[in-house]
Amino acid sequence: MGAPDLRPRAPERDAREQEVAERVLRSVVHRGLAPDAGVRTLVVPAGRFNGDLLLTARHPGGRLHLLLGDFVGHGLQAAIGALPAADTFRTMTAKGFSIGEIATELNAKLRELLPPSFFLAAALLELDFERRRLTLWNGGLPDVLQVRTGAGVVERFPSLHLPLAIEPPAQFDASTQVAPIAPDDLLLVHSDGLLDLRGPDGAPFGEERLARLVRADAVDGRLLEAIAAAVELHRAGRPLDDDLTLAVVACRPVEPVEPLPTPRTDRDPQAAALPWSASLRLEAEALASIDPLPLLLQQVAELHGPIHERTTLFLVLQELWSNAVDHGVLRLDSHQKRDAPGFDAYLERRATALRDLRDGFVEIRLRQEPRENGGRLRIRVEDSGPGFDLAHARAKESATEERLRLCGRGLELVRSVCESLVVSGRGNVIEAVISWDWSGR
Amino acid sequence: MSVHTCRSGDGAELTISVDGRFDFTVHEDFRLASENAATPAARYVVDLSHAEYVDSSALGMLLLLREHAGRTTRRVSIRNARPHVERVLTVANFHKLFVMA
Repeated sequence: MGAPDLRPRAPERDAREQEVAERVLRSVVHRGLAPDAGVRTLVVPAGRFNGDLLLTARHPGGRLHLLLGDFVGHGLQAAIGALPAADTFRTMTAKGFSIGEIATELNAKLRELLPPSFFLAAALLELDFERRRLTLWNGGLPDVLQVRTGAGVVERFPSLHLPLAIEPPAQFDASTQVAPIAPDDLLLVHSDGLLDLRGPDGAPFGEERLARLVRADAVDGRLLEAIAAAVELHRAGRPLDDDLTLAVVACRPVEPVEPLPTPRTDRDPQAAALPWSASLRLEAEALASIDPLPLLLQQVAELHGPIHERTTLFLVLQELWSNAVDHGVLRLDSHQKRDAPGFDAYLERRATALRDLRDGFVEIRLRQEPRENGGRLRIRVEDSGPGFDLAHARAKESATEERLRLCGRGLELVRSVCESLVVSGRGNVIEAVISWDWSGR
Repeated sequence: MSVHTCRSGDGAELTISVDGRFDFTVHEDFRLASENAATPAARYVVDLSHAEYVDSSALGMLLLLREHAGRTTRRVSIRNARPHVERVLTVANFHKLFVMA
């Protein structure tokens, strides 16, 4: 936003402060600059500090979170919000929050910190490789593109929201766009510096040029290079007016390069598990508005539970929870999810059903038991629904490969990572057991 | 000067026109134009018919004007944006905050 109101100062002091600020920002922002093997990036800053922000982080469930943001203006003033934004994004992702919740928090925090004319245009993406699902929030960035070899752009995700830090928390719209992804798809996210990049004749780079490149080279390992070459050709050695940041994200799961951070504890992590139990019951109105997963995960961590197995833990909690809500309480038919339009319709029905829900509950009980050289965590989830026949559901689900593509993979996945998975009651109670053993490690 | 102001006959409406580049270089002029009126206006119009370019700083200036005009009201309208300028406003979803005409 324009020139900040600075009194005249000694140039050397300015330079020194710039240097310190730059070092701090680099350590905070660049620590998360595409450390993820599945994300390839092109970053061309216009000034010394890039007003663009690119962050990636791994969710405890193995999902990839990515934020591409574009602060108002350039340089130091543009980078001020980068510190709190990066911090919030990383911390909340590690705790298992969804991107809608992270966007809500970023909006509130940045709005509180920044002057009224500052904002952050941003797209937040969540790639769930297990479910092959993209969840996206776009406020003020150009269309995010889903591209496929041979087909070019198959889907566009436009900006549906105001940028972050403008709306008061009560008016903030955290609704997300959701779409199925295929393992060979690529996602293209970029700041407006790309489309607006002026050529020697003043013509912008533009959407058409980008779409042509995507049609010709929508292959991982080639697309980024093709765009980078076209950018160099177009700018013809001239400096940029605006920062340019672009990320090409693979929809195929890639192992995180950095191991997930393990929370610090003064207790020997390999000591025998402590015995405890805890439960949480959410009634109808609470089911629509509370995401219990970060809470439960936090609880398990504080109680010295199997956080070394946090990917498994999150996966089990997530699957059992959504199974109980979707199929137990809301009684939705997951077979509707098997193609993309059905998938959209499914999510709409789910949202409506949750909003209108007046009756029902889901109860999660956790019980940890010590055993020799390790421990065991029982996760029991009960819902108010009529129950279902797991064997019958499994037979139906394995009837065709196609059906497994978008739905029904959940419980199979849980079964594959747990010691046991048992359905009881009238089919409305599921108990999964995660066990661990330190001997032989 | 690339920022001009014009009061309606009854004094209730202040029109601010920006010519050429609407970016950080006109920040001070735009601020003076919106805030230094002898009496506050009831309505503000930002006329962009001669604005060739807007950047994110311009969007920040529009937010400041909205703040100045009393945030909760829709008392600020943006008029005559050219297609590429309108695209920038649309991507930022500014129609949720301003009356676009």
